[in-house]
Amino acid sequence: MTDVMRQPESAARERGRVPTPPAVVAAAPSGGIELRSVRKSFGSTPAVDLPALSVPAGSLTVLVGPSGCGKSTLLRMIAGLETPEAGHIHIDGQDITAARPGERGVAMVFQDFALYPHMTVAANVGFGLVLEAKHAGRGALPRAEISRRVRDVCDLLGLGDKLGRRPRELSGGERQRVALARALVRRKPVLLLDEPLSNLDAGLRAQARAELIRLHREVAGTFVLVTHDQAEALSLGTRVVVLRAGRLEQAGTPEEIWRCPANLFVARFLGSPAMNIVADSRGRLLGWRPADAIALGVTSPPAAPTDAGEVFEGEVDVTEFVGDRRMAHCVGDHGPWSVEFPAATPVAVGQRIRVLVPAGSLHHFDAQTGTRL
Amino acid sequence: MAGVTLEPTPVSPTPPAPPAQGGCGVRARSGPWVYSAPAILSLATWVYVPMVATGVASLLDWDLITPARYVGVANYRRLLADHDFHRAIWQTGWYVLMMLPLATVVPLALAITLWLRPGRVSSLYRALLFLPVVLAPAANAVSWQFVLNPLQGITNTVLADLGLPGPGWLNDPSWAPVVIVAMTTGKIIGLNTLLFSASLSAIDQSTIEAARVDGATSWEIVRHVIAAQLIRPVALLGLLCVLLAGQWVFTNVALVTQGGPNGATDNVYYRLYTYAFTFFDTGTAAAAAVVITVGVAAGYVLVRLAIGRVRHADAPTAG
Amino acid sequence: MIAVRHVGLRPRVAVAATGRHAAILIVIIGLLFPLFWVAVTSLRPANDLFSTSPIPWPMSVENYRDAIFRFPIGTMLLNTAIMAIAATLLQVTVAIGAAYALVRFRPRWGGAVVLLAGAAVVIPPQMLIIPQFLIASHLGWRDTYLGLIIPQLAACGLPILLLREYLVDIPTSLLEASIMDGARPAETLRLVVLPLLRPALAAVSILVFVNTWNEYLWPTLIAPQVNHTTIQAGLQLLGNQEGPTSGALLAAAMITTLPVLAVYAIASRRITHAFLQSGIK
Repeated sequence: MTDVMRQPESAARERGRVPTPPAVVAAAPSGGIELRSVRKSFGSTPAVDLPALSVPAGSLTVLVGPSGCGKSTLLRMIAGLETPEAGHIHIDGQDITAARPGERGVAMVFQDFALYPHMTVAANVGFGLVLEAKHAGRGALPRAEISRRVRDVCDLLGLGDKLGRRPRELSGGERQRVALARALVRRKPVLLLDEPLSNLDAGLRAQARAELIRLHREVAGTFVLVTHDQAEALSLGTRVVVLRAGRLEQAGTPEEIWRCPANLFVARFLGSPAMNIVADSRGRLLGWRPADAIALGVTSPPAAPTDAGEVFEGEVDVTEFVGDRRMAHCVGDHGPWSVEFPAATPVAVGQRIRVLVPAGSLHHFDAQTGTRL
Repeated sequence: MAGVTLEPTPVSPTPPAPPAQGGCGVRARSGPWVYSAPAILSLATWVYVPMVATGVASLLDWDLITPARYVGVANYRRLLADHDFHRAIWQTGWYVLMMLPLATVVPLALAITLWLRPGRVSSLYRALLFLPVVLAPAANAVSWQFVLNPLQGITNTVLADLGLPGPGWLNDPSWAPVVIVAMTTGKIIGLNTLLFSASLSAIDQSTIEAARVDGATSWEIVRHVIAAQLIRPVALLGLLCVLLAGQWVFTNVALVTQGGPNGATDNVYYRLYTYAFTFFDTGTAAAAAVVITVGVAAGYVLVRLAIGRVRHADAPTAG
Repeated sequence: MIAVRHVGLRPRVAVAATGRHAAILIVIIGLLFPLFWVAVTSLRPANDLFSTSPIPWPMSVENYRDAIFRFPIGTMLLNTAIMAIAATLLQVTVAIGAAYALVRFRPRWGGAVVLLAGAAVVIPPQMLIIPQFLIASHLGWRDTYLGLIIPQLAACGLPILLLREYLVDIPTSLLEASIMDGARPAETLRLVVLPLLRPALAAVSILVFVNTWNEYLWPTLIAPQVNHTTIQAGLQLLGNQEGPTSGALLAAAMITTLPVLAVYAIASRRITHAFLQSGIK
């Protein structure tokens, strides 16, 4: 699985560039992270156990998995908020396993944003820089430079007129942007984001998602984002790392993971509605996505099967209206499965339908191990 | 800030990172010691070393001047045979009996009354009721002694005007403990009324409103809604308060009667004080301290067990 | 609905309301009467101390003049203030350190510290007083400020427990955010924790201050001289010297009470709140 991860990072570039790079753009993407045999357990339950994992410099890597899969622990180990029991973490070739959180080239956005309630937006954003200036000694980072950088990053995030506000006077979306600004202002090569969108309203979340992608493009750093939402992972990431029970299930671009899920777990975890899994006559498991099926004899004109595939037959049990589409949950000979039709398709409960899944859309898994065949 | 400095990063792949500490931050092993050292040293020097020392001293014959001599449990044997100590134990029990209703029923009634009719006047009442808690015991003692002066005090003057005989109050062995309790009452009632009021305001107001809409009278609300939710915390708090009120009684006795007249206001705390600082019999005083502490601890545990078996969510405890 | 019930003022309700007020007032008067009577009496001329009139007329400040000239009241008040302020600062500072260490680093032995602090609150002081006295005497602290102040650290258990409760309420992510911002432990404490803890610190300080101001036993032992002791121990010394019916003693008692009354009148809400916080755990 590591070979998948060592491909050159290109997705960030595919998203295009803005004509005039703003002030916070770093010169070249840096912040590649390498984890080597990192292990961590809480009590007797292993939280993270990864032989090797790399996060390419400049990527927006999303760690995704069900709750308890170790994604947050992994992020916190990169941040330095947790100590691995074994193994090493490198950032840009430097072993930072034992480095202090403030000195390992990472910044972090917390799930609850963790804004200091007694400070203004400007003070929140500038807090880290002020400390940095203090620790580095006099003259290393002049006050004017700090306030200029704070202003720049706040302008970038549309907070220019909120500098004097306190966190409780801000909306949820503004708070999230302050948290982003506070992390970005320090120009660390790696930005860690722990479920940064989960505390936002549903309406705001889609917008924030797009903003995050734009931001990643503009600052050209390495973003590592944790989420439990597979749709968010696929839409945000240039690279997705699927974890379960502390172990790596699959890593790759969203397209790769979507098209070729490495095993049954990944196949089931990604996509909503989930992939249909049905045992076939040869003792293997067949998987296909509800949207990939072509109805036979229902739609008009009936889709002509141009290539080989599998035909599934079943009785419609429940139908669901989902906007421009209609879901039909069916009971077939080998178990339940679902298909998605255009909304106009006349499917009725109790009706027997047949669908064709083209061979290219079929996934085969080993029934015992669950690995892709 | 020792222990949080950056160590040279290990290069070899073998050394495992330090074991997890929980909490936040990697290099933070001596940090907690640095910050808690003053507290730990304070508690050690002024609480735990003295506690052990008292335990040791209880086995010694020591008057603080001549060298101490080990006498085993002789102090305990003498103490438990001491008539004065027996009397002090009985007196202490009498104090507890007198204070129990003052720590439970009275403050509960006050808290409920104030709570049923909230408003400006109730706030004023509450503030006045709490005032004795912050008042200095020495000034309080001077006041009570003056008012209850048997010859010229206002109490006996008024009683005489009414044709009633005025008792000797603090000079009268049967009245003196009652006066001591009365002097202590202000603090107990004030504190417990406050704590019960807080428990009451934690009760869901909508329950009460629903009951009122159903036409329940105040008394019915108190009986059915409040009593059910409050009975255990009140019992617990009342009993704990009596255990802790021992200190207030001690102070008042030391200020006003010094155990007299004829030992009528004595109690175990004051007896211990007498052994130590009147007779300079350190060994016996230490033995008394051990016996009292064990007794208080036993009382505390018994109360906890009795109430804890049917424990409700957040029963307040006196602090 | 309360207002509605009052509008009619049916006779039974009115009687019940009057009864309630009367009952509460009886309790309040019963508890505060001695203080009130001493306040009134202290304003009478010295030869009229036993008048039964509730109005101090003719009024006189003779007793107060007497008390101030004959007793070292100022010194005792100053001693008490120094002791109470210093002991409060000391206890709260020590407690902040411990509470911060427990919450910020979550050491494995944290539970033991909480237990030790909690047990220290409930151990009867008489159990400790003899060795405390010996230690302080051995250090040459009799009749000194050090002797009055330092051993009061024995009471730091309560502020430790209280401040820990408050600190636990600060989201862990705030502490972690400051760590990510490069703050060292002392900076997190000073720049993030303490500003957020300000109301809690006020409440705990009030509580400790009141307890220390009213401390009686320790000052009588460690500083038994009138000029070196606190007002609590000092009033008793004066009472022994003057007898319980001295006008000057009454005035002295009032002088010691007035600062407390003034503070209570201004901040009664704050003070009751502080006590409430310590009572409910």
